[in-house]
Amino acid sequence: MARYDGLPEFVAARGQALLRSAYLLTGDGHLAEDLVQSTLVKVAPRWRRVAAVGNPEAYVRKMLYHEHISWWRRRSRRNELPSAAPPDDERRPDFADGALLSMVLQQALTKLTAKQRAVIVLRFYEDRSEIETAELLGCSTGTVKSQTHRALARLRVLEPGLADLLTDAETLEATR
Amino acid sequence: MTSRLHHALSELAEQAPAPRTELTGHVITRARRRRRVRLIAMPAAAAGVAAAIVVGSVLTGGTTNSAPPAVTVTVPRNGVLNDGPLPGPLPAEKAEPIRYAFLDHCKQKGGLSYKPPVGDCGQWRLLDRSGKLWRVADGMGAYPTSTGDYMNSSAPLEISPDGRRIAYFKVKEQRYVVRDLSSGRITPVGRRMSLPELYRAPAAMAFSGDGRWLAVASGGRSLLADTTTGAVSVLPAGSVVGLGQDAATVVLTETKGSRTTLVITGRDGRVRGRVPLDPRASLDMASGENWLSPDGRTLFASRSSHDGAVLVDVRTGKVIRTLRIRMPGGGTLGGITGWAGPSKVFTAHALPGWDEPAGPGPAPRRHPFMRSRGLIIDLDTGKSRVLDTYKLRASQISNVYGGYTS
Repeated sequence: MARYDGLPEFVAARGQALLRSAYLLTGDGHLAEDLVQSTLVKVAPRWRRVAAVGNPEAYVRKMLYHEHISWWRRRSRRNELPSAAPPDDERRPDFADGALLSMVLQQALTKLTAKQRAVIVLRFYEDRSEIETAELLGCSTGTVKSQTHRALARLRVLEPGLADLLTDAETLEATR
Repeated sequence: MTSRLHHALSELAEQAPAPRTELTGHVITRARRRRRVRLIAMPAAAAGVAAAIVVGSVLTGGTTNSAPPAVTVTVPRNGVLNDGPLPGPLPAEKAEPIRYAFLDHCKQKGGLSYKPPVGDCGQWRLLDRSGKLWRVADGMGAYPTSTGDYMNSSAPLEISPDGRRIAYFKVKEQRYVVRDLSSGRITPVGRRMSLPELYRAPAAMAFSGDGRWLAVASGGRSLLADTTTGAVSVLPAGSVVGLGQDAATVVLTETKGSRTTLVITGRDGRVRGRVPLDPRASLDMASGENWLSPDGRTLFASRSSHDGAVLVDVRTGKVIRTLRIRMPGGGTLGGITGWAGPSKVFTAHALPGWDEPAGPGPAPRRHPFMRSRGLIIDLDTGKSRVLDTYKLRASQISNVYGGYTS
């Protein structure tokens, strides 16, 4: 068991946080569990080395985001797009209802590309800086900027009711 | 100060399931199982250069491999393409048109994940029109991206719409080539590149409808190659989204912020025009593909809301028709592999059970097979015709479709 020393404690301490990020990335509880589990299976063989560096969560999160993007690429190569009902222009949801807002936000997130979802989760849920986000995703800060901009713009088009939320985020983004 | 979006995302994230108590146990069990599958360790190359895949090497323990069989391999009776013996190398000439290509990563659990599969079973396999299977013995399948890291990848392969040509990365020459299956002629396209370069900029390749022209996009720029001579022209910056039947018109997309522009060129790469793309259309999924109609006038595109498709007039960039074509088994047509005629397209979609749990429940059941179906769809009538069904026994695959116009 020496090979995996500390892994159970890490999973107990950080598993929920990883699942929350995975849930935002995948939009589905089962897929989130699969994503976290397959990421941890890849980390496990090198756990001793990863833990020795001192920040295993950073490594695990990096792998989580890469795994998520790699899943999405496989799906898109199969010309598989999610079937979704067309936007209902008659609907005027009351976003004072937090549950409805969560549902609408979740549906809108699933319509982003994997990278766009990843930057939204990293920048606005995990509150990472552009540099941290670029390091986690293995891209340049310029790409992070442009993907963030496109993601927010697309969310705005997909769900005009989120406009206040997004304007607030864009304002904060401009001042960071 | 945190934004309201942060609060909304945090509330949404609270809906994530709690970790199962047996999560760590499952992780360690699966990790140990993977360790028992022993592959020959490839010799570590000099720093920064990935190990080359040795064609024909024999594996020890756990994985399937064999020397090329003496007999031609056809699809097994159960229809599972990768059951049965490993096929032999593609014949040097007079090979039949190809319909499908796949990598099953030697059926390793977890696919490419920790170590790339080595040996013949890691090579691209091809299915020809008459049901025979072959290996691309001189081509690159999966490879390690860098030593000591978890990331692995596979080199691309593309099949022309008529199935008579394939484009792939030739190991010995370290470059992309196009092989004419009938004559056996192999034409290099583009320059040599090392494996680290291949990983940093994996190419997206697209054939013109007649198979004579090949766009190779790599690292932000694209080349257009004449596959009969190997002559190349450099295309402007942007993503290739269409070559039509004969690349007389080439369409690229250039995106700045939320605006996408169609850039129209000829075979020589000279820009003939630029038009803004109608915001109702999205060509994100068309990057590196040929979604331009055979007559070079109409682009197939996804709806920006990703719930259907549209046709775009290339001259104006405007949506001229909205398509809501139901796919057999559910969903709407939103993307294609290519055009199969003036008003027909080819697309492939996964059949139920692909990579997903069977349904909600405490213990998701995984389907043991990866299944997909190739369809020809008539855009005028919305009717579809099944061309082929493919079934593979693997947890992760790469696959490519072609040969749908022959």
